[in-house]
Amino acid sequence: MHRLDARGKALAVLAYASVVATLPVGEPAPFLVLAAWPVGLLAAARVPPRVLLGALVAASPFVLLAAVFLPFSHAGGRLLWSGPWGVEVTSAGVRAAVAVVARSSLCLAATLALVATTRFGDLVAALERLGLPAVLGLTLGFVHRFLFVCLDLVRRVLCARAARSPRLGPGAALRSAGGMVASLFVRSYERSERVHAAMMARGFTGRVRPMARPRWRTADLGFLAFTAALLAAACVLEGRA
Amino acid sequence: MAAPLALRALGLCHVYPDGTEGLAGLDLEVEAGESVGLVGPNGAGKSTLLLHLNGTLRPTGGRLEVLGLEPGRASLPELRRRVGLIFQDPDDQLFMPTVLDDVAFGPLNQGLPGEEVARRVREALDRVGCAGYEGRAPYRLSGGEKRAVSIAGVLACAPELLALDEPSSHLDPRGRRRLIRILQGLEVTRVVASHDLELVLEVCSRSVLLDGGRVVAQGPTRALLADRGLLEAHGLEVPHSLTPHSEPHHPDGAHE
Repeated sequence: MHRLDARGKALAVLAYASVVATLPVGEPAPFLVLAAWPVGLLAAARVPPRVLLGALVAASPFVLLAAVFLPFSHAGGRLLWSGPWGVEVTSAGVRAAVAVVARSSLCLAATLALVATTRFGDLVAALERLGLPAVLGLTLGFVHRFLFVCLDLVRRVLCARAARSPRLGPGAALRSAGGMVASLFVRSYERSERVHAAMMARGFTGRVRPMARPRWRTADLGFLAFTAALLAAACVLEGRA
Repeated sequence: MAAPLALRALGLCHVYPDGTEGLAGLDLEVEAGESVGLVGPNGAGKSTLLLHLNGTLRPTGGRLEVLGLEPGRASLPELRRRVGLIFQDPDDQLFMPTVLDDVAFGPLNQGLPGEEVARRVREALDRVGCAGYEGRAPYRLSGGEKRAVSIAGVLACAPELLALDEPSSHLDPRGRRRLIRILQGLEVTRVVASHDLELVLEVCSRSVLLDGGRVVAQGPTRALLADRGLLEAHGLEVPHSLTPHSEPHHPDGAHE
């Protein structure tokens, strides 16, 4: 899994997400087939289950916010519960909510399988080769590279503040946070100028030249074929149901 | 016959857009193959001079010739290819996702073929003692390793003149010793700006004292850095290794 071409993995996850997002929610069987893909990949890549759980929990506020009102807002199906002011829960609504949770969880698991087995730089390079504009790829690379530098800076600034103000009330903390954000912005801006100078000093002309062009190998094609077969199976199952 | 000049500045001036005078009529010559230290207090013009060497800054007055080229729009690509600039903070210079990508960045920009790039990367990493670091992420390296890799990234461009700005800042004694060994092992022309006078003493045969954007004094490093009166007049101190045991080691004579 780690050695597969990042382009193949990115394409597979894109195809997977499109099928998961568009397949009508009816019988559970097609979704069980679909769920086997990311779970199998994560297991093959030896990613511990708690990593997947952690990702699902981290994403849950967004997913639940999107799903929580659906049972009340969908007409159709059986009436499950009827409350005051015409509030009703329908079976179609519950089904829609379950679909949102299931779809987002599956897509999240597939994305996790991709990022857990691919180095960030390789992923960005693969996306560029698949047609992502070079300037976007460059920006993504910089965000990933300098995020850690910025986080380090934030840690140092927070540490310095804590050293001089052991008991900071929420109001004072908020006020000093404003100043901190401003100084972080200025320092990051100045750093970007220096990084730019360093890039120009080594002959940068606006385009990052790749080291070597990877070639598709049998394993990559096999992986893509397997994914395509599984997605087709899920679609066929849905058609029969 | 004297060695050809790598750098010649005549009455070089630079005024920043906010009116600050960075260089005020600086005269300096550096021969090819020399290792020259630039010392002086903060704001003396050391970094400003280094940024002129590869065309990052342009003179606002006087004349400058680097490797026979006058800085200008036409000569900029060649200047950048032939002059290697090493910045104060290695995090500013290591911007690619892996060590391999970063060291290969310059040679790839020069349009070299793949095998040549791979050879340059291998040699440069070997030179700074970082062979085998290719797949590592720059943010996972120690300060000394970051500095070494940032030097490798510049060496891979095969520069004819190497300009270093405070190379030993942020380094622990081991990282600093490693840096000194790397710099001593190079044959390319070096200009080293630093407050670390002990490092200058070990790495540079000749030194130049700058203050107020001008050259105040220059000469063999050992002699220049032993001139207590001169150094103290310009905010510097004689390195401990040049101070006889019988004399106080601090300007105010404390801790003796």
